[in-house]
Amino acid sequence: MNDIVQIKKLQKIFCKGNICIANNINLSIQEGEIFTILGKSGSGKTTFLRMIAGLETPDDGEIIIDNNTVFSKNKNLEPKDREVAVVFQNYALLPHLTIASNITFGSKASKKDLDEVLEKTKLKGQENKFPHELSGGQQQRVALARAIINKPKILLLDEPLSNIDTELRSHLRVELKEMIKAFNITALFITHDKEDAFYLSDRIAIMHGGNILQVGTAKEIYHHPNDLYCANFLGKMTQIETNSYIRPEHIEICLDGEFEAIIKEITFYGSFYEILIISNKKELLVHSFDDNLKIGQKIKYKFNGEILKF
Amino acid sequence: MEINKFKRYIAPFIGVCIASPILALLLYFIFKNEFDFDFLFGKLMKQYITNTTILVIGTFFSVLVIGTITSYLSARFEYFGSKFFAICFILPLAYPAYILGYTYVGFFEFRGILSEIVGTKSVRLDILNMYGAIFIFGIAMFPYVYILGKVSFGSISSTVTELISLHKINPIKAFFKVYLPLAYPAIFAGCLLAILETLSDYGTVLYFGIDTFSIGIFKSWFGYGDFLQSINVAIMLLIFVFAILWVESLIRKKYRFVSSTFSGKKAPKIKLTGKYNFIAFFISFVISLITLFIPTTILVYWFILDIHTLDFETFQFLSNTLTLNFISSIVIILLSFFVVYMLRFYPSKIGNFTHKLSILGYSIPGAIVGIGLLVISNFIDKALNHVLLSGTFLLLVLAYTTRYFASSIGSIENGFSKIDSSIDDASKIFGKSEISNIIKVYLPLMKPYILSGFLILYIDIAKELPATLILRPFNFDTLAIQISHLASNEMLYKTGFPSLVLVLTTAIAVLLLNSKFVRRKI
Repeated sequence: MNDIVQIKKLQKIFCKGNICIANNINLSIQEGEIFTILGKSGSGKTTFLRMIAGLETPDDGEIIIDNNTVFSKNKNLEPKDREVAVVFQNYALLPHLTIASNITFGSKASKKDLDEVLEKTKLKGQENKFPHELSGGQQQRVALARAIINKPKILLLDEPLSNIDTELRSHLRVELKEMIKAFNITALFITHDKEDAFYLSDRIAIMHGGNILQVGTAKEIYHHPNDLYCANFLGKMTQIETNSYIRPEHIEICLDGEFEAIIKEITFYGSFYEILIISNKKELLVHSFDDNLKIGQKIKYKFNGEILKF
Repeated sequence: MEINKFKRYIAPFIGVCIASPILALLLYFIFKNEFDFDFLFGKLMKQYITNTTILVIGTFFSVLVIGTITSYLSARFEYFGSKFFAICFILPLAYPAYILGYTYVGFFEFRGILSEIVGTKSVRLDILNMYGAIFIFGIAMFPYVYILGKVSFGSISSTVTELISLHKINPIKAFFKVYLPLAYPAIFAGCLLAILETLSDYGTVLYFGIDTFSIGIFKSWFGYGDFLQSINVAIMLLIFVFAILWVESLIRKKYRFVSSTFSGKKAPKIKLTGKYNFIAFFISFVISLITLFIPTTILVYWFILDIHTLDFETFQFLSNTLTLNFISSIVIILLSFFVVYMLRFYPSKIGNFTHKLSILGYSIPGAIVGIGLLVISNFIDKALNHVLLSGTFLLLVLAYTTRYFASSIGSIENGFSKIDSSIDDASKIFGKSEISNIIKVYLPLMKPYILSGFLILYIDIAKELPATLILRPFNFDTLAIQISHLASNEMLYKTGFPSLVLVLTTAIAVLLLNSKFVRRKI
């Protein structure tokens, strides 16, 4: 597959406090994939997206979109000339324009294009309404339709699911993925939520302090994290030896276990239990589906997954 | 990119142009080095300082009392007629102080309206003195305190009122210990506006014979033909204004704590019954009677007296006022929009500084602005050896821009602050061009704020007298000037018709400004 976006040695330092927002970032995004930047707030992910969009100017480096350099030392294309589109966190719909006018805002799209986008985003019949008359999910679809109608080279999504409550969020997540795939468009998704990242992405990059720590598929980065930060960020784990860690789902409580332990705490999480056990004076976290375990109970356990070593 | 660099200097350039009358006056004073020390420390200046100080202090206390009572009643209680009085308290804003002054002089004078009502000719009250002037400024300017105080009292959190009822604090103690201190910043801001308007006044103090700085400026120039002396008075007034602004900034610092108590659910209004309902009604009625009903009735009475000899040239003056107002307001609103837009998208440190400089005009009396512009126009005309600016319409529009830029830019800034920065980003990505974004995105979104800014400007400019008197083109009179001329010629009853016409137009603007149509989107 072709690289649709290439980032080379991208650098950005914020003057206040000399904070490094992008530290020599090298990255490429392939055509047709959903690529996610996953990081905590303040990690620099939103600034990274804004630099690609042209809303923020990098200090150094190069941004190439579809073999066209949009930013380098001697070049800085305006956002509207970069062939990118953004779905903003709060959607940024224009409240005084109808849905149709919002979608075609600034666009040269024909009536046929509009109809096609309305159809695919399930907004047919809503085109004469105003944004405040639509639900949160419909507003998201309008934002997506506006971004997609111009057939951008890359779609940038800036945490579009972050301000939505849990129930609606999982529904919108499914919808968002379906639509991006339906339009067969390359997307760069920014989030702090690993569930969103795991569900939506073909590949994920973990960002921290302006650095890209690891790039890979969801499975790769979860099971083979590059360092302790990535491992901790993606899920719980406990230390079993110096530099050796294990995730709770990779410890199994069973009668034929190798080691003995006593249950100290049990927390019910609905679909599973998180159990704190003490074994050889060490505390370990275990995930279990067994309803019959009790605090103080003596159990046996074994390791049934990969031990992470850093 | 070069164009963007250039754009960063547009807002600072406009800011300096707007502040230029004040800057010109200061530069002229410093570089000409013609300090008239005999005059500056003389008897006349002492008189200006004393009178202005007494007037300012008197006005401060009167607007403080009336403004606090009305805003507290209106924001915290429901009583008989409370909605009606809420509008009555705001309407005196439509009256220039000098018109209120004329009506009360006509009411209390020898063989005046009061003596006719009572039926005894000897009933009279001489109000053409300092006390009378303070009374007039008190009733003319209290709406500034009322408007800001009402917002503040109305925003107090329900947790504060719940705390008071839980601790069983009596209402009077609660008012002085809790509610009033919470509203101090807003009330003092209202008092400051009232004081600045009082300092800027010319018509009232002239009629009441109080020699303030404003009078000093006009006397020096028109009376004695001494331009330099008028500049000396203007500079002293400028120092006086800066001293007041400094005191205000000290007070503001002291009450910074307040904002933390305005979060959460607003406290509901208390429904008054029985004797408390009557007391609230009675207080509101008396205040409205004095500040609105009596002056309006007097104007209507004079209009009826004058009905057979009405001067229909008033409509020509109205047309002049409207033309001048519309052109000036549109120029000022457009400049405000442009400056705020430029500062939002092309910010710079120098832009922030010149922005502060440009809004200084609101605290500078019209007479100073007028004199400052004369300095500039004289300089340019002399340099060109040709009368280009003096006595032109343009000069008057410039004066209003300097004087009232702050009141319109406040509304525009408020509007822009409500537009999320993601809309800016979306416009940059999806929009066609900057001009198209302004027309399709920002102007439509800003419509209610532009309208409210326009209405505020209309009210301010329609009432303006001193700068108009100094700078108006030859033979160009506005309603305000006609009213002032009639009053100074002792033809009070003849002021009824033009005053009613003027007040009617400003009252419409005040009511529109207060209407849901404008307020709902603000």
